[in-house]
Amino acid sequence: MSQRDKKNQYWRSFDEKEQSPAFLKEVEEEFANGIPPGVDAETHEPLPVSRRDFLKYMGFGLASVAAACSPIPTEKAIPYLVQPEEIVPGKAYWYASTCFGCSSACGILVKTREGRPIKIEGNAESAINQGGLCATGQASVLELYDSGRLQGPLDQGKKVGWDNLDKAVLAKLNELQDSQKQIVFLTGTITSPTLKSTIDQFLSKYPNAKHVVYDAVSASGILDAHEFIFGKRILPHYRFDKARTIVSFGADFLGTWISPVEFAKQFSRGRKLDQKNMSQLYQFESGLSLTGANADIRVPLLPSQIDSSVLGLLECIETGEIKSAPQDNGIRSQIKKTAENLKKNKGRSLVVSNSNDIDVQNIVVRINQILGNYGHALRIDQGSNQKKGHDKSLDRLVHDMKNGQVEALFIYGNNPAYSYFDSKSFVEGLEKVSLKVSLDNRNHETAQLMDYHAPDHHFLESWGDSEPVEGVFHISQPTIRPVYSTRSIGESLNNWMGIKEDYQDTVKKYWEDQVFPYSGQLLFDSFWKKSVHDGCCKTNQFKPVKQRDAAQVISESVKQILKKSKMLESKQGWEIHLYESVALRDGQSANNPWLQELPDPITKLTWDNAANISSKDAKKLNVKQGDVIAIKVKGRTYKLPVVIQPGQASGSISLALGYGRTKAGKVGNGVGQNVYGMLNGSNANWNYYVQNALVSTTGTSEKLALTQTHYSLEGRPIFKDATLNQYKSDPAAGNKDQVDLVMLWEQHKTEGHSWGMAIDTNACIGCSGCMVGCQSENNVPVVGKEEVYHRREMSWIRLDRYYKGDEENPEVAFQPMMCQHCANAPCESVCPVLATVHSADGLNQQVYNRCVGTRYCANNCPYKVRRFNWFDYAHNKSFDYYMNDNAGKLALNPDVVVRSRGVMEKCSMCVQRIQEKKLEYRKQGKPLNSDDIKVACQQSCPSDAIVFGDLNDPKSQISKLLHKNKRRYQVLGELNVKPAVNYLTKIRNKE
Amino acid sequence: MNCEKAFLEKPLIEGNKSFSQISDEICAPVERKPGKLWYISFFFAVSALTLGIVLVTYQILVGIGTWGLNKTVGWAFDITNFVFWVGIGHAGTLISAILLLFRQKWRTSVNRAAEAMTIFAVMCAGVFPIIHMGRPWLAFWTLPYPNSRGPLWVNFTSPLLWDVFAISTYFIISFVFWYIGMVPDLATLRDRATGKVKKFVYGLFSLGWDGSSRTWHRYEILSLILAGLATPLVVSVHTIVSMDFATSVIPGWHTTIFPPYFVCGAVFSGFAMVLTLMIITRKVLSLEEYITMKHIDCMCKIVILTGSIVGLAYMTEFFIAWYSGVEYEQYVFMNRAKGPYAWAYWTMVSCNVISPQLLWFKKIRSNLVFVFMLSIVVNIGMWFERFVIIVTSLHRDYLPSSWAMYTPTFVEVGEFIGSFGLFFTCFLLFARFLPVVNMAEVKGVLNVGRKTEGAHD
Amino acid sequence: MLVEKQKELMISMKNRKKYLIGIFQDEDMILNAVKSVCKAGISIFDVFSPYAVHGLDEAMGIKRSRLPIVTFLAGLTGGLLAMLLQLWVFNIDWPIIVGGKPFNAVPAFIPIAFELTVLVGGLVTVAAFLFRSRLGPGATPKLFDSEVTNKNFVLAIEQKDASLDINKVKEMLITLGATEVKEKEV
Repeated sequence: MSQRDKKNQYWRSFDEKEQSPAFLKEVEEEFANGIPPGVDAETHEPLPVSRRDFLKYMGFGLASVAAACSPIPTEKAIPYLVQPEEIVPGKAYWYASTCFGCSSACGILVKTREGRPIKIEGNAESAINQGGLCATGQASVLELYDSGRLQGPLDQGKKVGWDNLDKAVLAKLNELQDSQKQIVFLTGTITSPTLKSTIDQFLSKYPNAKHVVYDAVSASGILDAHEFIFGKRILPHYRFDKARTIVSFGADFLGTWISPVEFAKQFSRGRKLDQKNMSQLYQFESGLSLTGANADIRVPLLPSQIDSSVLGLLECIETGEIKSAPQDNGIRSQIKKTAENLKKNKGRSLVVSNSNDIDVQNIVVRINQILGNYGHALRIDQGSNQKKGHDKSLDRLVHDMKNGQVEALFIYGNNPAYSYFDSKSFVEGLEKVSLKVSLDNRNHETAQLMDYHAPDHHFLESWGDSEPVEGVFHISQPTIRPVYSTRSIGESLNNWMGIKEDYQDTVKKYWEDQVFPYSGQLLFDSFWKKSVHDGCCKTNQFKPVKQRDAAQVISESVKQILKKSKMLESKQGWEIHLYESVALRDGQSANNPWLQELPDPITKLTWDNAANISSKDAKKLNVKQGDVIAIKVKGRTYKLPVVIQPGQASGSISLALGYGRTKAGKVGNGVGQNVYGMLNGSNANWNYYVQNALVSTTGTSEKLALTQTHYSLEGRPIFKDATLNQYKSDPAAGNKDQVDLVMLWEQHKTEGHSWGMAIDTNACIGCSGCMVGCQSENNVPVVGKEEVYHRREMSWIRLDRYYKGDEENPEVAFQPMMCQHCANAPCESVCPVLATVHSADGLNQQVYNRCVGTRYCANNCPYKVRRFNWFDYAHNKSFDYYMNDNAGKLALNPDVVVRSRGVMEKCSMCVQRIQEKKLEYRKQGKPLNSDDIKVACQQSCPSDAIVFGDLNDPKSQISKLLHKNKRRYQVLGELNVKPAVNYLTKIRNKE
Repeated sequence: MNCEKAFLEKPLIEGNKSFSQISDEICAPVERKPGKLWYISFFFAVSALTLGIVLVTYQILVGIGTWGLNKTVGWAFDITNFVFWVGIGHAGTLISAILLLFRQKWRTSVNRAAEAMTIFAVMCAGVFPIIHMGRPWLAFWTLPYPNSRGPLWVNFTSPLLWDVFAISTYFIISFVFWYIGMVPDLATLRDRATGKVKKFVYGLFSLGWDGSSRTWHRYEILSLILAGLATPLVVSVHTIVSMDFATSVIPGWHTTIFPPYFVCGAVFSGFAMVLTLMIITRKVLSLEEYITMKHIDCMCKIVILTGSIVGLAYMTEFFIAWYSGVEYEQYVFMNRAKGPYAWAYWTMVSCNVISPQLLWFKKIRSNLVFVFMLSIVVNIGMWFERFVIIVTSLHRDYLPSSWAMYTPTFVEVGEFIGSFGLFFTCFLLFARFLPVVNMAEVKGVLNVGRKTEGAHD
Repeated sequence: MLVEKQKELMISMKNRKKYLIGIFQDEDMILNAVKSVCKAGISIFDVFSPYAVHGLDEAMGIKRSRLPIVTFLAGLTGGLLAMLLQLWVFNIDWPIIVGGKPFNAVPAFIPIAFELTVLVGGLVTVAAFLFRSRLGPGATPKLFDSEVTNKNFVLAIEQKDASLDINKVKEMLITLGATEVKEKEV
């Protein structure tokens, strides 16, 4: 420690300050047994990695409970269920918070063990996601422990203290105080009202300050159309549960669009068979999306045909005649049928489109207006805040930057150097900005071009709030002390405004002023406590919007669409359709190995994006799966491997956004291709499709890490379905091949409980949230592209996806498949060492300790759900994803052992969760209510497709569901293995 | 067997040999320095063995992931090699035991080497189930030994455990049979030995054999007993190996025809391997007069017989798959013939069913080069038979969602080569230090000084 | 008679004794010689041959070996023990549900019981053979002729009582075809 620094050092005692001999001796003796790890042996100064090492050494031990993660992370955080005096080791505490994995801002519960968050689940109290949570949200816990995050503030790329950073930024800001040039705060959609007001407050100090909101995948078209028609830039809040006929033009609302978990919940509620009516979904789209896969009627269309189809639908609803739709009889008759159905369900239908074209969205508004859906299935008086991006304002900003009109740029929550279609211009413009500050906690493509980095906390470390839908508030509270030396963005802004206030107090003050008065509560303190405890609250704040008839203003839009579609008819070449993938979305979470390895629910591709083309086109181009094609768009060539995708509209190619990151981190760098540059952005809003692409073959091919390569059911009765009419006349429709099988010996009786599961394939939408939920709960390793390519992915639950019928437009089946816990388990009888045996309560147990790894059980499993540890995944440089990382290890669930090399593993039906509840009830002296046990996949399911419980208890939810249920069947039941997992047939609402 | 008649017409051993001539000639390779050919072969064998050892070490250090297996295909080269070697190991005991019981005299000059082959093949076979484990260092957990972990036993209902017992019993009994059969010859070597070390070593292993008529009497009885035990043992071992598959639920494996089909296949491949080895051995060690064309002819006939039975089994499998009406069954067999591994299937059929039919022609049977090539072709075919059964059944079973392909890595191929290294290293050492032909038995069938038709066997 | 012989043999192991031996060159001759010598009332100590000469045991009056009984008993023990062990483990010591099968999964226990029948039967028989024939590592062979393991057939007569006319016997052996007749202490 140099003399100069000493003045700035804190001292612990007077002895230390005075450097008394006694103290110095003590210091010497302190390290009598060697220098503690993370400290330089010569200088006794902490090594650069000391913070990480600190976590490593302290994270697991009891000491950590006292030191690193003191009783409650931040003084006033209130745990969800109990208010502990101290943290009890081995006991999990749950905190309510908000997910910021995307801008949907779902309510979450964070499970912490020994002070570290290990799992994120949906908060059932939240009005948005109602207990479900998507893959991205659940995976965001891993980003907390990502060693690739920024670990402290940076000044021109050099590490500095926060004080120094603040000084430097303030000095710069003071210079700009009177500048007439722009000061711009560029963010993604901000759902947090407190943060929004803090930013506004910060910007209000400067004369020419602007807040620009930019979404990589935007909904500008909808916002613009509503602004155009209603005079207010608002995103409607959609209610898919209120619609009996749902028509979607390209909007993947079950997978990625705006608020997928919320929509999935709503959608599945409308699809329940026990109610009077089951909703019907029409999907018009180019590439097969998750929503398209769940559609009752799906119409594959070229991207350019969608616009005129929307217009055609309007015409058909208005007059019964189609004038403008594509000249294809099939498409026209489908539009006609759709229109008829919509008219029958006026006020109980919903038409949505993901188009970013204001003209198209104007027509959609008009259709919904005619159908009387405003106020029912979509509301604008209580609009959504989940997408706020304004495409044109970013275009303008880039223009201004290039002209040298921007003095300062703050970025937060977005990454235009990667995701803006004209990132080159953005980067060029950025060079002319004199103050560039990034508040993101990653040094991503844009952030690394900035001068100052004031990294924000991970959302699990900071206070915050959100208002995803007007009147619905979520709170966000820290669940751990900051892992790195980061600072919440609110605190940074407070500091730069000269306000000495904890951000927690800022949030609280905002709630006191802006939320509490509308809550109908009497005392703020109790309101606040309850809100923090529940994680959410509702207010009755309505902001009525004046209704206007769109009919008067859309004639120009009609003309525009007609003009465009005329133009398109004469054009040649391929059409490219760009979409967000379910796992990576817009690419912000590209460094998350769980998401990279999560197979796309449709293509089943991991660790890559590919060009999805129809088999017809593949034949035309003479390419096979994996062959690389070159796509030339706007003068740039993109080379991507081909995935032959049933249901892909011929003549179109679908490409997933969010890949090809170059500064995401060690996991996400160089995975796939960045295709944001293909976006069509001239003059209007950015369009997520392009025409006139040139496609050529390259003669090379690439390995595709697919988790499923065969998509036909081969006519096997594995997945069973029927149409709604068939079901109505006979509930056993599609499920008639059940036979009684003879047992050669007497069956063992299950004692006490008999654990079982029911999976309703009618509810399952294939979102794959269960896969990440399981991975997080059960410490399932990530194995990387090469190993997935070798078909060695470790996921305990997989989502089998089959196609049926016409390859051009197939029926899709999703079937979650995990260990079936067979009563006559074929795996058990072949294990030579009894490493897999049956419990008395009906579980097929895997004893890792005893396993010698013959893999005989996996071979003999008819469901192929057993996973083998081919390598040591946990401490292995070849698998450096998260388990090999000191920080990443903290995300492991201590209740589940990390498996060693050479042993078999598989779904345990979350036996640790069963055990936990069993003990809880025993302590209370009550008989166990098995409905209280929620296994990880079941918990995460946004469509409530999975039910777990005690089959021996006639009162349990599962027993009631399965009792005399004619839809009940067991996969491969004819083998007489007697699985404990039951499936229910899928009912399609179609002819 | 119809061979017998042919042998009564001509002597089994050619060249009108005397007893001491036999001793001299058969002991010669052991007593003199080996030739160049032996050294070259030994070099290659040890190199292959070394390659195998290096790769096994690497694989144990890094993990089974170094193989090309995946979640769908959990066995491939490993168990293919295991069954292949076990199959080869069957001819030795069969020649010795069954032919002894059937009093086939022609076996006398080939049984020693065939038994040695059995033992080495079983050693090679035994390596694979151990190294194919995820944690091979815990292989001893498959043994039911009392332990301090509370009641912790093995699974007696697992076919893999039956394998453990069957293979180890087979190895022990075969070894004992081979060794006991060698004791009189070891005594001969002892009495001929000049060096002190040789005399001591051969003396130690000949167990004090002195050729007493009482010992010979018991010895004959013992041989018969061991043969009587070994014969059902041979059948049981491959039956149990086939149960690894037959007791499973996987279509293509779950087949009642497997036990006899596997036993026949084993005899088939075993005899082919005996042919391969005998043709080399008689050439290299100049034992043409002991291992005669008649021996080869007779073994060729067994190859035709067993090959035809194997062919019949292939057809039966197809028929039953069709007849059962089970779509999974039917698919597996169509997939074998027409799927991505059809090349392996048709290799198997042409090697195992078609090629042995050529042996119906005497001209071909008496062409050593052709028979040698054919024996190798049969061995290739039989290896592919196991590969086809294991891989094509696994890679596309019940749920199409997990269908996958399998490609071996260099580690697997190298370890397979390594197993040949082990086999030939052992065999060459055997040929160098032990009499490859059973002198005592050959002397017994010479009919020297016998005027009457004897009941020798 | 055999038992007496054995007893004598045991004594002879300790103290060397004198034998009269005749060496023959083929098995017909030795068979003939054994028959003739027995007929003459001379007790034969033993015959040594390079391979098993058939008919010799009958000529010498050797009783059929009881090794098969040993095998039967040992095999039975092995099989029974294996079956009992399996039943005990799965029913009493550690009843655990495996693949839904009953604890008394007897058919599944047969393979191991069979293997152990063979193993125990085989090994015990071999051990009994070695014990009975006094063979084993380190046992010294009683060699009357160095060529006995090569080509010679040796007929040995113990010279234990004076009543035996050695010269007469020698003559008799030569007439029977012995290539060499000598007295030897072994």
